[in-house]
Amino acid sequence: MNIRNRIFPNMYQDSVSLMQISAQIAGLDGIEQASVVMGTPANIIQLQDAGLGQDFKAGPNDLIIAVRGAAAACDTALELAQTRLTAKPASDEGDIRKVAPASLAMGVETMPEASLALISVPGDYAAAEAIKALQLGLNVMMFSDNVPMAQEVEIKQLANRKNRIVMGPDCGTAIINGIPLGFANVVKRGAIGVVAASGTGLQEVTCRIDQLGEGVSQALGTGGHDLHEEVGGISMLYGLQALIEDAATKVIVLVSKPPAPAVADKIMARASAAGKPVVVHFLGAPRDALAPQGITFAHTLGDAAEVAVAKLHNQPAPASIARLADADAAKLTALCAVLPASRKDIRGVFAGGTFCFEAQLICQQAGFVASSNTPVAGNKTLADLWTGHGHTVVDMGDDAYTRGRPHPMIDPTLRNARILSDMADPATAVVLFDLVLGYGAAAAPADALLQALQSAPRGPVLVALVCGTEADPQVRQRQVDALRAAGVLVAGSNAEAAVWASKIARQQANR
Amino acid sequence: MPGITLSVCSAGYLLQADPSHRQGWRVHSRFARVLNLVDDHGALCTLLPHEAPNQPTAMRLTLPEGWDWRTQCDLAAPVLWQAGWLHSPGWQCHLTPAMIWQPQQLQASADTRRCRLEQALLKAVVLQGVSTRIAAGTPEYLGQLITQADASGHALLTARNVNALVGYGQGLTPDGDDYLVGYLAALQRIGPVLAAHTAAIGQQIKQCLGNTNQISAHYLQLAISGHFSESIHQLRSALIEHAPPDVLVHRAEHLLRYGATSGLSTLAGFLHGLRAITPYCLD
Repeated sequence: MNIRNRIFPNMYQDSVSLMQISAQIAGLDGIEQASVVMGTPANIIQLQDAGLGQDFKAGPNDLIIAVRGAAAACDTALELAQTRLTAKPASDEGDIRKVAPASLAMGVETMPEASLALISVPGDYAAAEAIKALQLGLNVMMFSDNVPMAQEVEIKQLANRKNRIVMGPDCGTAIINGIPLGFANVVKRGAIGVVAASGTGLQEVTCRIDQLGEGVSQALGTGGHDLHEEVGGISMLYGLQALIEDAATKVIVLVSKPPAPAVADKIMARASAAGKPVVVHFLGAPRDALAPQGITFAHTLGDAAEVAVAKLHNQPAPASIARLADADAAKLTALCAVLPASRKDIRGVFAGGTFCFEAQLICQQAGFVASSNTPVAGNKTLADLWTGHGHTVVDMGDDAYTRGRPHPMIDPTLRNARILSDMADPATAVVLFDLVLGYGAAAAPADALLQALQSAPRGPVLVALVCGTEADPQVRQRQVDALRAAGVLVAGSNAEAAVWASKIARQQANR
Repeated sequence: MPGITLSVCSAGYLLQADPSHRQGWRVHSRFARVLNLVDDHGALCTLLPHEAPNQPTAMRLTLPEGWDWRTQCDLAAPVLWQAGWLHSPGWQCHLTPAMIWQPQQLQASADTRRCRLEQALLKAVVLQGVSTRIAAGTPEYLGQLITQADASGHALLTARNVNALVGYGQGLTPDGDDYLVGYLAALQRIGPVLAAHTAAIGQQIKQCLGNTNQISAHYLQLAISGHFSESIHQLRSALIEHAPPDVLVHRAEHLLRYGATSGLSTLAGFLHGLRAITPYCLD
């Protein structure tokens, strides 16, 4: 039995490497024992006690490799250890990727041509990051929500001084120079520009424009609070002006819930002086309001797109799509004929907050007061978040349902469960829901629901809208076909779907 | 400035004062993701990757993918610290704007009920999860120490123990050194009650520092002066704050993951230290 050792002066290796070397040489055939240790007095004593040698000319900063075994094996082990300890790491200078930026400033240094920062950090920290981005000369898209209004005002006033836009906070959707940002759809590029204080509102309008064969120049989000009196519509005014000055934009669409009156006045004044057609849709605004010169009011999201396309072609605004065509009325009447009379309720289950809002408005116009977690004026607040009672229209993308969970556009599990639950309720006449496609949304949004529908007892009528385009990853027609094959009525717009639902409820109410 | 700029995520509180007054900086040792610098007085400053826990005399950097100090930094490379910048051919980093890691200074307390609770907590929660790993992983002598302490009910380390521990065991920082760091960290908790013993252990360690390597000696000196890594601070604060068991386990597991056996030996020493202070925490 032979004993060998080798000393490596001032050799520092990390402990994991030392352990690996030790394990490797100890596992060689012919090696009885191996030790890889720093040459401290205590370790030398251990080596001596273990019979791995007596005389070690090593200090605490030296590495000792000591082995006992067959002579050839010992030599091999020591050579192997030496090779591992002294091998130069593969030089990968050419492969070293650039330093990953760890700050906005570093990002700008790395990419000086960047003009936008997309911020998605917890709301407590978002304002500070937005300010940093603005100070660096960037425009800002704030995906972050839960940003206090006072901070939003501060950020947007700074942006104004810097001649930049802040899209957000809580802005999940934009299309800039044809690039979808956040939850957004693949739409044709074209001549219609959109500024929206509503994510799914922006999506519905841009998708409808695409379906009508036209395209979008830019689609800017402002965040849901931009048109509050406190914020003053800073981002919408900036976006509007940018589209006015953009030669590629021939028609402008503005979408929001009703702004504060003073803010609405400012926006209308700017829009009427645009020098190009402006279509305005303020959800829930009085239908008989008089539009200033150069502005056309639209009454639904789908109408906003229809009117914008008509304006682009210098055609008169078409009639609202939120009306019941005779053929559809007949079809719905026939469906109601096989519904038990006890089924009377509308149950709306939405992933898109604006779709939920618009559906409530349209059902209300048809005479149905509903409960909701985000009720429109005149509707009631839900007493029970988890179970529908009477006409119930819920926004499942609201915080109440998404705390600790992904948004239903990403993961429709909870939303699907709610649909099935409402279907099982013998009081439900119609279940109304949305399927939102595009980047960021679930890859196969209908699959899980359709699978569940196969075994679920059918009771109420199912009405859906599919918000998307043929170019979206999910391919709109594919989703429409799958839903129709499962017996779901697919409307052309959210407004149409709500009109259908109202018709069914009216039919049942009259029985 | 030449070379790549490495972003500094944080710097240890003992680096807070501009270290540029310390002269003669040079490269001490290089590893794939860690670089040790040393000054004329033998004090180390460590450059860690961002995923490593903070240390009092280290700065954490965002390293590019594929970065290896062994190829990026020559052992003989000059190192210059000037006006908040650390320069060397091929790279530099800016210390001044970095966030300073400063652990919350835990109030030493002889609160007897607390000590017993901490001991019980650690025993019940952590030991159940990790005791077998400690028993299997610690070198023979450390295992003997724990057994003797349990058998005699008398766990204070002696000068003889310290002599045997410094430099003992495997790893770049020998297991015995890590054990002593953990032991000292536990003793910090009790404060003035065992001040004399803590000072004596510290003194004994100082006398033995020549028996271990320079890197490990650096961490032992920090521990003697009451300076510990972020992982140790987080474990201690979890005990003091009576954190839920899952937090305690998480913090202990985090410490265990450090190095090959360093974390294991450190936690073993910490447990020994808690045993040692328990008799002094009688109601």
